[in-house]
Amino acid sequence: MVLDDSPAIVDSIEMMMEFEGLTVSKFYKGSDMLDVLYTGARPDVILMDMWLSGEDGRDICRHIRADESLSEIPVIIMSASRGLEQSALDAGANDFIAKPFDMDHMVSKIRGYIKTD
Amino acid sequence: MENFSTNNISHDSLLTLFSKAPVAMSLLLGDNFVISNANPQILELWGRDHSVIGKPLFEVLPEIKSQGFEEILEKVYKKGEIFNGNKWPVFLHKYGQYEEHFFNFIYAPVYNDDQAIIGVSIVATEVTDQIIYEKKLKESEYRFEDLIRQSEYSIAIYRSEELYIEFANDPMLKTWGKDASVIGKRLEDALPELEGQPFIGILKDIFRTGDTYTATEDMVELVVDGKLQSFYYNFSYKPLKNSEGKVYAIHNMAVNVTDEVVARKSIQESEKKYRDLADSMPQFVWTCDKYGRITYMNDSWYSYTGFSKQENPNEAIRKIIKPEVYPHILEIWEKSAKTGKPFEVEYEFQDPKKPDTYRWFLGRAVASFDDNGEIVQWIGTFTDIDDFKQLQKQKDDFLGIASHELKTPLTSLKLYAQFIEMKLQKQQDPKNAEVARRMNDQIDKLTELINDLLDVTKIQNGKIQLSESEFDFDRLVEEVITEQQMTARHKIIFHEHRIGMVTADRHRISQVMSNLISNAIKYSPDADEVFVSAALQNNRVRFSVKDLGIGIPQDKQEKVFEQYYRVSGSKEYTFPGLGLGLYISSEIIKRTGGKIYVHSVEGKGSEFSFEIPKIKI
Repeated sequence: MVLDDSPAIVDSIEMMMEFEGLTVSKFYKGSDMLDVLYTGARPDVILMDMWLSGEDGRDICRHIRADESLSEIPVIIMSASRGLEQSALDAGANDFIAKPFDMDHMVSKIRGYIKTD
Repeated sequence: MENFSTNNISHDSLLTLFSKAPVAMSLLLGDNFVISNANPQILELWGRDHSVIGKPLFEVLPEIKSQGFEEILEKVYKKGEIFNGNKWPVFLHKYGQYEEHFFNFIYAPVYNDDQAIIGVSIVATEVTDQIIYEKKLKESEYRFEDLIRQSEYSIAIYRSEELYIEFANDPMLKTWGKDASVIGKRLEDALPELEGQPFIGILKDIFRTGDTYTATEDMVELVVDGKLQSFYYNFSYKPLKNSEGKVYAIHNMAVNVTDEVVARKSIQESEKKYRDLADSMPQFVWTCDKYGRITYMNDSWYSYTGFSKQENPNEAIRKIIKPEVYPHILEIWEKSAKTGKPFEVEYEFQDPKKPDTYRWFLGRAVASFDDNGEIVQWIGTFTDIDDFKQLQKQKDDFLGIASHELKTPLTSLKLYAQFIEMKLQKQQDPKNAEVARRMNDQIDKLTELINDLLDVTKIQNGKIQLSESEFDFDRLVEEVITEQQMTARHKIIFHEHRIGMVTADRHRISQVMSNLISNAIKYSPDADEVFVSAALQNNRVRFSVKDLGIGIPQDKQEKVFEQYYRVSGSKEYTFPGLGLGLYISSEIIKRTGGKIYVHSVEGKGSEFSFEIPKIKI
């Protein structure tokens, strides 16, 4: 699952992921993504932005961690603000990645979580 | 005499008269002036006894012969002229002393019955004591006058209510700008410019009141050197009174204090000028003594704070300064006070219009020293920089937001570039894939620039945070060198020295290393190598990067760590960069508890180093 308020980012990540042979569900709003999760969807990894036009990625992460049925899903928070790594991890994210990023780097991180899962 | 004969007065009676008269008398007879009679008074006067009777005068008193008496007696004896001697000086051998005596005397011819001159009569009184007294008095008067004449004070005496100038010494004449010809004139005639000034009136009043008048730093206008000028005097008018207590003259004594008064007035004027200047400044201008006690605060301070001038300014400052920063400011001030080095610090004062808020001020002070290098006082200012601070904050916020926003399209742009590269590689098109890779590299460069801007913003806001961890320093150096080598034309030569584990922010330290290496490469366009070394001493790790590049002039070496500093001179425009890298590096190293420095020779190259503690203690 990819969540970012910028469609250009979501689309380009989708494009790269598909190129790598991964399937992506795209979300532009955190509440939309949570709705889908509550209906039972279980992605291998959630990759989401921190600032989401009125929503804070860390709050969504805390929601996921607080929900027993979702808490095991690996979450990677991405942000253009580099100094926020620690606060992302504190909110329960498994990883943090600074924007812009190398796709190789990102893909290897994601694959790492899929493998261990 | 005729009466003597007609009345048949006895010879004895005449002799008695002669001998008992309170004047000295003698009768000289004949042309050699034989002393026929001499009363006891004249014998006393001569200092001789009765034995002189019957002897010629000049035999008895030979010393007077050469003193003109022979001629006088001859004249009286031969021409019958009476001679009057007044205060006549005579040197006499008297009682073993040869001294000057003074006499009043009359030499008169003595006739016989045939009216023929037969001798000379002498009547004399000694006036020596009187003459000596007069002389002494004269000398004393002269000495007194001389004293007054030579006095540095201006002295004059005005006689009678008409104020005739009886006396004026040279300083007084100089004061008036006149010569001695004014003496004897009336004061108001001698100095007509005094009309309309109070002095003549005051002097005339003293004849009535008998009171002394004194004045300090009174201004008087006098015509000196042909023009009316103002002078300042300390002076007194003292009445001189006769035995009946009546004022007959006034003694005027004066000291010219014009220079002192003018100098003081000029200092006062100058002080007022600078005070007005200071008061008109929008900044708060102040002075304090070497102990930091405020001695002056300008009007702007009082009108801004509303404090009264009676209130202790030091306490007033303490009242409105942000309490949390006060100890810190005090510490900086005490450091300056000890060294005499300029004091400069930014802090917040309460906004009197909105007591819950503070405004930013820049406090500065410089010391002034005496000839011995001791601090005399501090001159300081508080400048309201709140608007500037707000603008700076807006700028920083804007830069923060702008760089964050720029990264969003960059993120997708980078993904697309990578996608194209991979796609082309898959399609066996390495040439175009390389184009896409370079596109990706340039996106990385753009990202670095944006990151620098963000870092500066964070430093300015004090928001840069280091997340420390323990890491392998040697591995980090290797990683950074490998990464830099990938894009560098220069060979990066590493003199390896094992350091081991270090506690610091790994990411930030790697940023500093990359910055130093990329600078070394950038500023040595004509060289082929840069040299990296690491060393460990005690608990400190040193990392150095040396190049053989353009170097930095001595006077610019301190500035390279300042914000926005760029290579100066003709080559400036040829080197890329925002001038932020070394500033960010130095801030990171400072916050790590280390130091960063440079050794450089212009035209030969530079060596930049940083030192950080290996383990935080």
